[in-house]
Amino acid sequence: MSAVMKFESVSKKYSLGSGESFREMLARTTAGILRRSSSNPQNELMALENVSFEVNQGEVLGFIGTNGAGKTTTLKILSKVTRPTSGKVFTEGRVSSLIELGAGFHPDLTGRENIYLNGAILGMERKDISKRFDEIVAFSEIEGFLDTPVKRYSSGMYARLGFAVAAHVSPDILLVDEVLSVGDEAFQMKCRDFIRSYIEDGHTSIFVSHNLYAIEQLCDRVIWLDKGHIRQMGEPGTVLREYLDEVDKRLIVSVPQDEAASANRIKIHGLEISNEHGEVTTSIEQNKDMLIKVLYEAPQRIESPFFCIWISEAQSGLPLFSANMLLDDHTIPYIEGIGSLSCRFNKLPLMPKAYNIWLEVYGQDRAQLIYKWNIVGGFRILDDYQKREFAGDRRGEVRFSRAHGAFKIPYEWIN
Amino acid sequence: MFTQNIQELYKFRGLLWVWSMREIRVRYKQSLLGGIWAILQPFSSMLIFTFIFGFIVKMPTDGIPYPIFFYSALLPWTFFSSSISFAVPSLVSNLNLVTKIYFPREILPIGAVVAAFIDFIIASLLYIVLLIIYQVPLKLTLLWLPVLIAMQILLTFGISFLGAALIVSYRDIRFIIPLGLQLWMYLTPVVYPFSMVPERFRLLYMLNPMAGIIDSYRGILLGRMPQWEYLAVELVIIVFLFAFGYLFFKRKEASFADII
Repeated sequence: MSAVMKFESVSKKYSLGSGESFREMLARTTAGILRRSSSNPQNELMALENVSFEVNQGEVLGFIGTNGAGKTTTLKILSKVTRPTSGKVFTEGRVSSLIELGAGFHPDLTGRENIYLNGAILGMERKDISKRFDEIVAFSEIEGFLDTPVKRYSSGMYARLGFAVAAHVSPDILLVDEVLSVGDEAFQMKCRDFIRSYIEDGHTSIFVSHNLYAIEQLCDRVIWLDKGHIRQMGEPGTVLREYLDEVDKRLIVSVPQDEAASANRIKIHGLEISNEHGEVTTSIEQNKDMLIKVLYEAPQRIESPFFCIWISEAQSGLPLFSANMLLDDHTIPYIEGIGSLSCRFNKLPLMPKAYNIWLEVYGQDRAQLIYKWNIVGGFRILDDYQKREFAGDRRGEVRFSRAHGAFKIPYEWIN
Repeated sequence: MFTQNIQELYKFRGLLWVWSMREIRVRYKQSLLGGIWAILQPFSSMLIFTFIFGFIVKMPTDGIPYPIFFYSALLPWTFFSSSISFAVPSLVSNLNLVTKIYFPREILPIGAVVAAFIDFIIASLLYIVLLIIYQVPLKLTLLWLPVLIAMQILLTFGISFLGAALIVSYRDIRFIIPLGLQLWMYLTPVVYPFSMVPERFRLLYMLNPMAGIIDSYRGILLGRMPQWEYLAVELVIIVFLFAFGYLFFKRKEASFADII
């Protein structure tokens, strides 16, 4: 296999700030005649530092990492929009990016005019565009609006047309960055199918996404970028698992505590989460018990309050289930001063990932909000992959189970 | 490096064409008169100048009828000034493209100049009408026209590249342009004939490349040969400006997306 793309110890430095004004430039040049001024390192940011990798013909490479890890910078360098500060970049063949769709559109021009314009910007020849024109129109589903200026388009139409043009450039190397969030569900599906079939045709692609499920499904290899460095590179299952472990940890540590809602009549000092052995921890094993202890302070006596504890998936924010006194028709006589309330969740059937804990407290009449719906803590379910790695095909088995839903419910196949 | 750049540009010639067409389309989209504005701009300036400098100031014109005298200079001058005012901000006003998609960046200023050139051709039609109305006979010296146009375009490119590269970092250029163009016009024989420039200043005066070009546009119409010794000096300046502007632009090109 031959490399069609190569990064050799590439670094990219950005200078921050708004850039100098004409006056500053004049001042600097005059000063520069007297002595050579050095650049100010405080105003600089290393977006990439000494990054090396290769992409082989037909390979699909994925990039993951938190915001600011250098993923977009990598794509910008690959697409030649910007050049590295140091290091070498080598690419072979036509590179096209599904990065910013419709970036070349002009609002005053019609859909038809913009197809030709954007196609040319993306490097297509006029006759190629004419040949694929009908395909592009059909894909974007804007048949009736071809001669309408795109400024009159809905944002969905705009994005669809943008994707349709970019998708029909048929490059040798395709760069994809978070584009799957355009248009409605049906169109997103269409885009995903398109990218998938393109990739399955053996095209070299580079894929950047926060959608780890898509990354896992589409990529042959994954690079985890962290603050401009390659943290890990390898087979998707392994890299994603370690990446998620780290993300989970961060999600729990950085639980926001928004106490700004001054209407709250009680104060939450925190949560104490403990496992089945009574040890205080935020890492709970799958199918084991968890005890949540809410530490509160009620400056005034509150008669028969109702507590509701919600558990939600940390990454999506999707609420999963609750322990809800309102529904249980259960209350406590009163709270006053500093105290605590505990709730035990038995045999948590959750998949290994991070979860948030939300709290809501109502007063005696059930309508009065005493503590407004807010995240008060979080925990994560430990992955028992060490155990599972011995069961069957490693790649198929271990691969990234956490993307597949939130619950683990016992089931059996019946033939 | 130079040939490599030209090759790259040649590869993107399709885009250059489409982009120039876009510039023209966009300029007259959603305007009632459309392309007629290309004529109306120099034409209305000509009317104003004819009234003020002709009938009020009574500017000597070496015997040329006022409308012809002013229009023959305003036509190329409008081409020059509108090229510069569109080409210099072309990178900044297409920030979206520059930061997201790769293509040779000089396509943007070149496209603006091409669009202005098409306006120039449209506005030339009126010139022909004026020549017929005033029964100006066609002279062989008109064969110099392509040379003058080529020189002017080269100069326009040079200044556009320089300005477009500078405005990315220094938005001050935006304010300098209208001011600079106004000043430049008065340093060029547009509203007055070259013959009014005092003899002892002429050499200095002709260091302004547009001065010789504009004077020649007017001269060749009446069968006067261009003052080639001036033009030769100006050509040297123009070639230097063009080379400097283009190399400066290409040197800065890599950082456009980062600092724009």
